[in-house]
Amino acid sequence: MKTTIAHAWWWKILALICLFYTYYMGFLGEVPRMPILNETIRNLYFHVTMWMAMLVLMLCNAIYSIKYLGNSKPYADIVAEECARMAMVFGVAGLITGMVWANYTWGAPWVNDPQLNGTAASMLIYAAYFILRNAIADDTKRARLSSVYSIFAFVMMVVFILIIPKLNDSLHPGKGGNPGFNKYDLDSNMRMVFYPAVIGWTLLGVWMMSFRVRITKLEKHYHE
Amino acid sequence: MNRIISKTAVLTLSIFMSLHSFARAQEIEMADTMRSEGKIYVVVVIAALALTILSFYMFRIDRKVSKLEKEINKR
Amino acid sequence: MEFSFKQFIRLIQHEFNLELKNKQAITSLLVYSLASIYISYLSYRQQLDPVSWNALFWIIMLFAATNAIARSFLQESRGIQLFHYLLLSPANVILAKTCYNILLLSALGIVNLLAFSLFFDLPIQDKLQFVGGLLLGSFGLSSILDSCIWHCFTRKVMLH
Repeated sequence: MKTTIAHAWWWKILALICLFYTYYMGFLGEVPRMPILNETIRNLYFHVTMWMAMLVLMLCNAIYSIKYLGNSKPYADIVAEECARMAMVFGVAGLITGMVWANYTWGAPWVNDPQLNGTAASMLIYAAYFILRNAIADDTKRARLSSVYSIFAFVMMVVFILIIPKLNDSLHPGKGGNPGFNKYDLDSNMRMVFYPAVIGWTLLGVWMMSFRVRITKLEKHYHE
Repeated sequence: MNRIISKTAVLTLSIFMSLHSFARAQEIEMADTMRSEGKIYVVVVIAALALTILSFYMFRIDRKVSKLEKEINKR
Repeated sequence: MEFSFKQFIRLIQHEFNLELKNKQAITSLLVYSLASIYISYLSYRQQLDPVSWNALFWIIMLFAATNAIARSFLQESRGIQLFHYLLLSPANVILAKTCYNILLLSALGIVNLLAFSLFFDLPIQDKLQFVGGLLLGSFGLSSILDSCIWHCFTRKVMLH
């Protein structure tokens, strides 16, 4: 088997360094003082980054789906599926951490908010993606159908998570009259932690995703 | 057969009754700790939850590897 | 053929294995109930009086139950059906299936209750009594639906 980027070690070290930095600065770094949020603004590094990692992995899923439709190599399909699976793990983590956070700042674990509705809808869309995959027995047919589906799902997710909430009133920052994200991290203190945090969590996700891809490849290789 | 069914029915009912009285006795308030000291414990819980969920997924991957190993060793 | 406890346990194990081997059924069941709860949340918003809350809850449970139980019969291949038909006592098979479905439906009911409590304010006064009622309800639902579907199903097998 030829060596790929999955066998390189430097980006795994980078992920760990970013995560250590995130945890260290996340708890000890300077943050702006906000009235209701208080210290929970630090959740920016632990909750918001989950969604960022999910978005990046879903983008990978869409890219590999398009790739599969181009070259119809089974490898692209495996990567696409595992990307979506890892993204779902991040999505579940984002939902659960978000619920805990909302419970102590907004007063309820689930409020009727366009951002929340959008994410819930897109999570359901991707759950349907896995059901679709399981329902089809034939390998190539499954790969082709789910690739097409995941492209549509990605477009829907972008609309639901990134566009609709921006047009409506939302409790999340940066939308409909609420103070924007930029307003309280303009001191660039938080920004210096937030971006490494996103990179760290995403790389960790890619790392875990590559395990499953390699296992599936080995399984296939073994069964043939 | 009938006796078994009636016995299990009585058993489940009594279990419900006992659970019922048990829950009335204790009342837990968590929110006080979570709201103290600038809600820092919310951050702690969330950071821990993120790690917990990811490590849960790691365990599932681990199980998949062990299954593959078993299959290869069998041959 | 007599009722034997050992056979019964083995049959329940068989049901569990079948479910674990093919997780698609349970995933689609979960997604079905979560999606319907979510849609009702979006359409009712917060104004849901206790009576319609109750109706909504039990309707979703009923549809999920019908889905789950019908699928548990259809999931088995024809060979296995004939095998069961020839070798096992019918009371055993139906009892095992019913017990398994009771477990499945109770778990589903708890998950549904949790999802409901997430999206709506619970109008339940006494939660434990409600859970007890829920478990007994899923017991009744699965036994009735199991016997109904079993009745149609055996007729179909014999006709073929």
